[in-house]
Amino acid sequence: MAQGPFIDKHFLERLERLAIHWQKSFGGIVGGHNTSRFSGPGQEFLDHRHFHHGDDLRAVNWRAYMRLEKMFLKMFQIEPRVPVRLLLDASASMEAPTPAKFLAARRLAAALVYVGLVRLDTIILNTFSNSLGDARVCSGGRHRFGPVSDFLSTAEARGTTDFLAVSKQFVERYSQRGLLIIISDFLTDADNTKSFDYLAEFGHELLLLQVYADEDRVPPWDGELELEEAESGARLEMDFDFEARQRYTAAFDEWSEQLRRAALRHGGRFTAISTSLPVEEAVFGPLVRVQGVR
Amino acid sequence: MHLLNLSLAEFFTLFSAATAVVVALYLLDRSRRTVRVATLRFWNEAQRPVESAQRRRIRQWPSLLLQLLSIALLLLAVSQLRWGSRETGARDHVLLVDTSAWGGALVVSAGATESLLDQSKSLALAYTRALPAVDRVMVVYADGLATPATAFESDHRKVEEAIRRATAGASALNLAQALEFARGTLTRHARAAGEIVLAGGGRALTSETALPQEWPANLRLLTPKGSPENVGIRKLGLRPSPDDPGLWRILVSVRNFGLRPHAADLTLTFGGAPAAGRTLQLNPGQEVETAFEYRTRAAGLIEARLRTRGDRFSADDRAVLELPAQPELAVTVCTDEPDLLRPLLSSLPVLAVTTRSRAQCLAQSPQGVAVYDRFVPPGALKGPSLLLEPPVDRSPIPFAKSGVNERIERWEQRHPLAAGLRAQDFRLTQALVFRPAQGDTPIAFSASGPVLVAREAAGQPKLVVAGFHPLRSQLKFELATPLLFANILRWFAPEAFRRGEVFAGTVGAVTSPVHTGGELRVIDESGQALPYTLRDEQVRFYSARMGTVRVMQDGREQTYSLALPEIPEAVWTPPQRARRGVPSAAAGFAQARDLWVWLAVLGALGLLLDWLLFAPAGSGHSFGLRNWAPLQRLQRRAS
Repeated sequence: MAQGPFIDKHFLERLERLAIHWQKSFGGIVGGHNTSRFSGPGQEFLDHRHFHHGDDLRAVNWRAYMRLEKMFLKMFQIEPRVPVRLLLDASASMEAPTPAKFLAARRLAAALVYVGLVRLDTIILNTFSNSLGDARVCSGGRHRFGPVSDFLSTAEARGTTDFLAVSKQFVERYSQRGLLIIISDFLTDADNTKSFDYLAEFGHELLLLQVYADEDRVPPWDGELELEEAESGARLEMDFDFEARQRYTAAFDEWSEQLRRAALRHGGRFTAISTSLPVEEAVFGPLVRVQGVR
Repeated sequence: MHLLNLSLAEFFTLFSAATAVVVALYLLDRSRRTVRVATLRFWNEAQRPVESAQRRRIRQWPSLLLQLLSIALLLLAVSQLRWGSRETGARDHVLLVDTSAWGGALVVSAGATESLLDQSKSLALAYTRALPAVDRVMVVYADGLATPATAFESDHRKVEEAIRRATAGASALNLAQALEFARGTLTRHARAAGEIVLAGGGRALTSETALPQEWPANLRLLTPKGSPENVGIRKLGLRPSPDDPGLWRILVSVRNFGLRPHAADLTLTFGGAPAAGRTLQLNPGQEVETAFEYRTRAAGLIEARLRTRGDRFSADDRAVLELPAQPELAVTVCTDEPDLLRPLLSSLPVLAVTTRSRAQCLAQSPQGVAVYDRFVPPGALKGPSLLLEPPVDRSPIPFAKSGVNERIERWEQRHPLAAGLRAQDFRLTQALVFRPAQGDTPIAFSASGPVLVAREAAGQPKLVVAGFHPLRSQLKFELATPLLFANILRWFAPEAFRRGEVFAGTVGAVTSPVHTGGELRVIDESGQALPYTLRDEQVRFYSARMGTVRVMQDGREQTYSLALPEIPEAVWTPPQRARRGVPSAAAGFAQARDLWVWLAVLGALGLLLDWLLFAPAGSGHSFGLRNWAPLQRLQRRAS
């Protein structure tokens, strides 16, 4: 089937009024667009504290000193530049049962990268399956989006998913805390929530974006089926009917709920996006609602 | 119960083939399907205890049975299963709509005035609507000729449209011909012969050839109500008086076609001015001929109009004829002995004779036909001329010798100048014997040579030169002399001698008296020759359309203005056994009931139900209806 451009110009123009949002307060140098509870060389007054030796005398509140003969230091709110990392699931399951799922995930990643580039954020884009792939640093403004688009449009889905191994690699590779966006279908046999706990414990803020095909949630098939798992090649024969479909959908929804709880448990966010929803609507719909961008 | 389109064997063959295809597709469709999924995690949770293969097969039987049943129903629909015996199947009917002139007669029905043809059309439409939908109908317009308006048509809307298009013609109904046409059509072209239906007013030609010898057994009559009164002109004839130029004898024939006596006022007008009038008393069925005389030499329209109280048919109340002019032939006689030729020329009423002396003729050129008595004017002759005994030195025809006591021995019978001339063996005291040049035609021969010569050359006036004087010889006592003069003058100006007779009559067959021999031509107003038969000095031709027909023979012309409709003289009596009236849809036809519509609907519903209940959800045909709770319950129950 002929496809349109990977991401169209009109959509990119709409994205320019958005900014990637994180909820945690991270330290860092000035240049971000989300306020932090950490003080720094900002413009907005935050609080006073006692003066200690070595503090900058320019921040001393001299009026208070004249009245109270004690030196207080004025603290200012900063909007630090926070590292944003984006992990894109490129395992074989992303193309099962339909390649539309991986395409939607790549387009979503491209949209987020573009939002970050416009706001002069630095985004590190990683694909992963059973290990973390090569990092692609995206920074420097919107005119650097071309290589990112080329990279994402040529990415291929293969291999199995191992979230725990990827999490360990990620922590080893990126020690500075920041926003971690994971785009995946999260459809593995193993329980992924432990790896999310692991990442959160190292101070990363999680934004989990589950991209699923409608067939993933409500399988449309009936009768006798021979199922083949995309990543492992494992097979299962079963007689699938209405009641089985209901049980399947309930299990899928339960799994999504577990993911949500895992994200929320550590102050993160979670949203599930169907491939039947165009990426533009997904960005300005579910993603805005969970304040992934705003 | 029977199948209309297929035999039982064909049906079972088709059903077997369809069953084989469906079962094959069914098994293929129900075979295990391989699906590639992202994870088996949720599938394992959704899996229920494995059922036995036997259980699965039992569960899927209802779908197969439902499909086969639906296909059987659809096949029966295609085969057109009908409830009833085969004898009550589709039939073909011939519907004769009487479009004769009598259809234009008016009758009062239920307070409204309408024509017999309108009533006939209403009855024909009612008959068509009472027919089963599968019956085919051929509409035939029947008047003097039987003209099919449609083929055997199963689309009854087209049949009704053809019935509505019918208009009254001018000829009378030839019932035998119409019934024979219908019978032949049913025999040759019908699938199953139905009825011959005649929708008409009950008047038809009652001659031996126009009434059928044997009535068809399947005849149905749709007869309009009412019997309109009619008094009409049957014939209008104009004939010039043979002995009084300018006097016309006018003959009008009027007939009472009704059942009551009537007094009819007949008036004649010429050029819009009243010319004559008369009141006629007519008993039922009586025909009266009345004659008028009218004097005119001018051309114009003469109209006969009939006014009768209670007359319901106006088409035959008026007849118009064009009266031809009666021209005179101007003849100038140049002679110094006027009394010699006067008796001869005055006997011809169409001539306007002027007698001049030779000097006057020399001074002024003569008008019309010139007769030069022993005299030839100098210079070229300017009009048709007859030279009697010209001077030897002035004769335009070279002369050979001057004969004495010459005897006419023969006439050139092939030339119109000698038509009817048989006189021989009379002596001419003195005669010039001519030596005709190229193009001259000798007419009368003596032993020495031609004594009467005609000359006809292109661009030159006709010329006849007689080497003798008919009235100064023994010939003056012969009947040939006036005949010769008449022939010469008719040859000079044939239109002046043409006797025109004009008749107005009814369309249809026309009989006209002619004499044997002579060239006969029968042409219509467009100049096309009409076929005719000639028997016992009568020419007979047929015209079904209003118009003018001319019968020409020699110098006689009869003009028939066929402007009156042909009304049959009597009402024909239909046979007692003939069916009458419009049958009711239920009682009139023991019809088989068509079931194919219901079978098709049931078959389609069966397939739809099977698709809703059993179609694989992954086949790409999923609708929101599948998630409808009642349907899901039904599906679970069916499984």
